[in-house]
Amino acid sequence: MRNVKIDEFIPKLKETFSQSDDLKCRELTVAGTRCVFCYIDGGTDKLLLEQNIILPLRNTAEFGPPYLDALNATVTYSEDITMLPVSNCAGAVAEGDVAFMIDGEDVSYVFSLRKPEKRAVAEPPTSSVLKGPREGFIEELKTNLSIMRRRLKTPDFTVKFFQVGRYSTTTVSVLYVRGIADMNIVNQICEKISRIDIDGVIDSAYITSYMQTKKNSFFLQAGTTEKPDVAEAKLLEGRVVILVDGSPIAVTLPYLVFEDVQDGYDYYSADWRASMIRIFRIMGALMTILLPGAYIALQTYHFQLLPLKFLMTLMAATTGIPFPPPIEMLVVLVLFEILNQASLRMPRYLGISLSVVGAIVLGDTAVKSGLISSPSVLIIALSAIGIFCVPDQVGTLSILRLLFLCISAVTGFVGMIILAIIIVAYLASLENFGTPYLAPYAPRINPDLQDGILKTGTSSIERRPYSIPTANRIRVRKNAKH
Amino acid sequence: MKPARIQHGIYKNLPNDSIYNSQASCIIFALGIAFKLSALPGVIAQNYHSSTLWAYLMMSAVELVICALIFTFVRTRSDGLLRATNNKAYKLFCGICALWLIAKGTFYFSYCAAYLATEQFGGVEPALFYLLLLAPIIYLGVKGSRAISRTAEIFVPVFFVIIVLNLIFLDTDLDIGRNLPVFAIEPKDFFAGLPRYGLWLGDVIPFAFLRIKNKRMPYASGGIAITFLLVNIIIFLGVATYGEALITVTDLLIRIAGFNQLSLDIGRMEWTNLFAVIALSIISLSFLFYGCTAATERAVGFSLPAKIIFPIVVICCVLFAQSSQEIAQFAVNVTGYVLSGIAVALPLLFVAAGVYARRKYGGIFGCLDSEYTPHPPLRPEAPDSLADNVLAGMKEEAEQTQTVMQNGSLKPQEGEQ
Repeated sequence: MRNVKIDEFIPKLKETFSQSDDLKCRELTVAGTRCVFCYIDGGTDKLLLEQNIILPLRNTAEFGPPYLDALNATVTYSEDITMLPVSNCAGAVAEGDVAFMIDGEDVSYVFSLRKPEKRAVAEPPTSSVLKGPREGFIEELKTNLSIMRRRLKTPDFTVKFFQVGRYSTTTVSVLYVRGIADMNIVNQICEKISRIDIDGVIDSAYITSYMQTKKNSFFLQAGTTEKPDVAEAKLLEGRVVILVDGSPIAVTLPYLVFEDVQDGYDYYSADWRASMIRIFRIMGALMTILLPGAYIALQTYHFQLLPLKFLMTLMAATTGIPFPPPIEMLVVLVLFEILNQASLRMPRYLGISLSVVGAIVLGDTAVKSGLISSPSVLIIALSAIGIFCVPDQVGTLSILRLLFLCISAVTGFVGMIILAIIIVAYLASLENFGTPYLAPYAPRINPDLQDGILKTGTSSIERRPYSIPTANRIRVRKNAKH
Repeated sequence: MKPARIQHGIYKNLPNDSIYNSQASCIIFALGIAFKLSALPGVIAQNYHSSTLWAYLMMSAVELVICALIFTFVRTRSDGLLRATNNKAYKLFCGICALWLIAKGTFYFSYCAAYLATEQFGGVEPALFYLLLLAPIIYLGVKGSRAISRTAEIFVPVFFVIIVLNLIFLDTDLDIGRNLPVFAIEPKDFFAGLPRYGLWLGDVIPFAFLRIKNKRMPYASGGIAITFLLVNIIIFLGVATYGEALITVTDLLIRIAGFNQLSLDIGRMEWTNLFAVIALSIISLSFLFYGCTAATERAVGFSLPAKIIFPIVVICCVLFAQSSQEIAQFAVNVTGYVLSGIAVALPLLFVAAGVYARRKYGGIFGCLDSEYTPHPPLRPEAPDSLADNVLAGMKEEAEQTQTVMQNGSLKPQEGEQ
């Protein structure tokens, strides 16, 4: 056993932290023994440190080996005090813990007194609901876990922690309900996470990219949510939820493409209303993808299919436009995407100005000057609105829209049909942790259609989805059903 | 009453070469509608005039017999047995089947591509059109039965509804009497001429290489019944609408959709069924391509030759074909009789081989079947909701208590939850 002197150790620790100014080393004499507290300024709850650790130590008259027992007898600290070799305590200090070292001891005693800054629990901006829970996840993992614990008060609700990232050492947690989740899937996910070797995990999206079975696909292969109620519902369906410290977005697995058509609000409103909304969401998504391409195909190749009056109106609106329809549509689409990106990044007080510039100055003037036709603007506007019916799929839908637009410009409807078949065939061959991507429609799983496009009452859905592997299929007990 | 227990570990992801009967019904619909209503009505009407419907009924009867034979073969699960026993006759049958499927696929693709490229999408460069059409067929065929069946499951219900709606809103001057007399030609010529349409028979033969997992409902039988019923209804309406002019009709499914009450308000409705024809043709052709690869694999041990030869033959034929009519005429000459013979003989040979194998190798069938069983064993002891919220290690005890309580031997005390 080697004795470590504080005077030798502190310079080494500061050197390890590259003389970082926020590393604080506070010396103290406890009953004649020289000690030091090392922590990162701003990351530690100083009030707790002062009142519960330092003050009792100052007031104690006896302090000697074994030091762990002495500390437990003296300080007011609810958690276990971790013992680490002095040479290894830098990592704990970097994570925001307080390392307590005693002169001549080669062991440091680590107190977890982290006090990360966090925002209040609020409604997520992307998942507003008219009815239903309004709380959302925040960036702080422990708060998110406490929210989930409050919702699932069962010992079967299990959390597994992983430290991922060589520099960030981000805590990644895997949540599941034991007895409901399929342990094969839980183990697969845990194994994938434990194999991640990356410098840092900035957001849960980093973890998502490791969960994809097809790396280069532009289709989502993991569900995301910012809402604890949605995460809870998915856990109870047998899915696994991944929460990452520093990210308000929970990742849910396995993922089915139809999940994005469902929304938490569907389950808090009348069933017929939920069914109707889902149909509109699908229509919105299809409109986004197909409308610009269909317009080009009709105007360029298949105008004979249009009713005569409609055709005459269209001809009147597009006469004199200098660009061919595909180019015109592409220009409007690119303009819209630029405006969209600018409005996202522009300071909020300039947002109204941008709307005026975008909608009136650019749109109206371009139409009046005869550079672009009003139907093109209308089509892109409809497409732009429709894309937000399924907000999680914005990226995928915008790429598909462009693909359909390009192919219809070259081949008309036939290309669109063939592209649609290729896309469906591709999706049909996708799998996500042993789950068919297009379930419950391909393969068709009849019991799951109760919560498909049309939704039946929550009390009628007696089984957990067959689409998701689970160890426990029964959701509603028949003898308790009203 | 015992607490409700359900089977756990139900595995929805069937392996390749296994499909559900509901998926089979979708593929049957695609094969039946796309093959039977494109080109054939006009070709038959040339020779059969008012007897077209009756010729179709006869062909449907033959097709139903072929379906019955093929699905009998599938039910016996003899494919695995014949493969495992390295049966040489079965290899030969599969080789013939692969060649027959190449011929069928080539004719059908050539006709479909030539017809669509010249008569429906004249604005698109034909070569580009052929490549576009071939791309999803190859993709799906190579991906296998799982991708094909799931794609069919997505598209077929949509197009079924579209076709039915088009028939409901049909607005035409029907003269049912145009389907009479039954024998517009001599009965002898009537029956003697039928085998020449062999290209349109035996669409279901690739099912012989699949295992079909049955759901509770008889979807496959239902699919066959609905498909042939719909085909014959459309033919009946087609003859009643067009009469002798049916000879000039190249695709009855598209043409019949033209007579639509809603056309004046929302535009011409042929395109709805045109979409159906294209999508269903792609699914059908990819299924034939898959059948060809599966047959080749059984014949020579690997499927690569079919994966190379099928697309090359198909694309070469379509590039050299002058018109869709020329292809159709070629198919109904001597070639038609040969194709008919093979279409009828193959299912018979498969069933005979299957019966022979089951009799000869009945002893090893059981273990062979379990070896080929794709599902993991069920877990009868998996927990259910009765033991929710019970501490780990005490679940079994809690379940037993619940069971006893529900059997009535132990009543819960008043006020106890």
